[in-house]
Amino acid sequence: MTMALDAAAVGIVEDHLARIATALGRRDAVRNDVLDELRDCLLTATEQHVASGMAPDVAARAALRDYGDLTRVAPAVVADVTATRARGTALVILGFGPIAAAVWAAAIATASPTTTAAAAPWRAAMSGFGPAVVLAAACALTAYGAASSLRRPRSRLPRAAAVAATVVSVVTDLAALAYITILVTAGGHDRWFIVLAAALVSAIRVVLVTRSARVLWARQPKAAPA
Amino acid sequence: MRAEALKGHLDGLLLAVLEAGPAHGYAVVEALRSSSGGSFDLPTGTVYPALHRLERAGLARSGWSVVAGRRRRTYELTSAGHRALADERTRWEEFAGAMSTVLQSRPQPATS
Repeated sequence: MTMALDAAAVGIVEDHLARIATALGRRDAVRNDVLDELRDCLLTATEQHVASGMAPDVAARAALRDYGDLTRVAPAVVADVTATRARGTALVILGFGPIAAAVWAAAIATASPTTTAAAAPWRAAMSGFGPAVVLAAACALTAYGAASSLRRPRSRLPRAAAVAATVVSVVTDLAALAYITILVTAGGHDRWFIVLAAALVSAIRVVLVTRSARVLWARQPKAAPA
Repeated sequence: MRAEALKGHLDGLLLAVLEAGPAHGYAVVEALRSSSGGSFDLPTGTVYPALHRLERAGLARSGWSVVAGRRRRTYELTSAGHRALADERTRWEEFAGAMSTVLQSRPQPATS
């Protein structure tokens, strides 16, 4: 059932949503989805109360009471949004991982012998490259698993693991980009399109995971009291 | 009944409500309230994070539609959700049976 509500009732609901929005931090798709869903919930509840005979503004306030005390409900909503964001970050890292690894490997393997000889001093520094990829994947899997867990819905693990996966992933990407740059500048590279693909994949991954991790990293403000 | 009393059981209750078919969040809350005869009158704000948790766990899936100019999210059970609900029912029957046995037993008079 839907009906046209008056502006006063809608305003009461929107004020409440603004307080929840403050608690959810930065604007992103996850936050917008949560707010749209809550808007539909609160307006539907208001409509039900109006249909049962309440005045629209009284109905809107009753809908907010049904929703629950914001200081008690907001932590669960924030934890929910944080888990969803952590899962998204983990998926980006895991999804791009094999692609990035394949193009890096191809770019390094197809470098000419003179180029790789010139870059030899850097090889020792890159010895941690493989373990770093494994570590990033392990952190991302932990974030994904913890965010999907039914047993620990308010665990801080998804956020911490996603942030750790992001840091390791970005450092690894930047190291790979630096190494490929050194290979190219040391003696050129016959397969420039592979180098370009590697640089592009790494750059996209760095931008995506950094953007989503910035939301996770930000300190979550508390909801303003209703 | 207070929300705390349902701690640990809310996910199973939501799966049971969604078994009847797809529903949006407020309809889930209403169904929970009506099917429990008003006993499970939860704050609606506590139900949405639980629905999202079920979705992240792969037990429910959601889709969006536009109703009266606003976006509405509707949830439905996945096949994993149906299996989880069956498991939840089995566990509950075992738990409730054991509880009943213990609570209804009367102490035997001491013999000396």
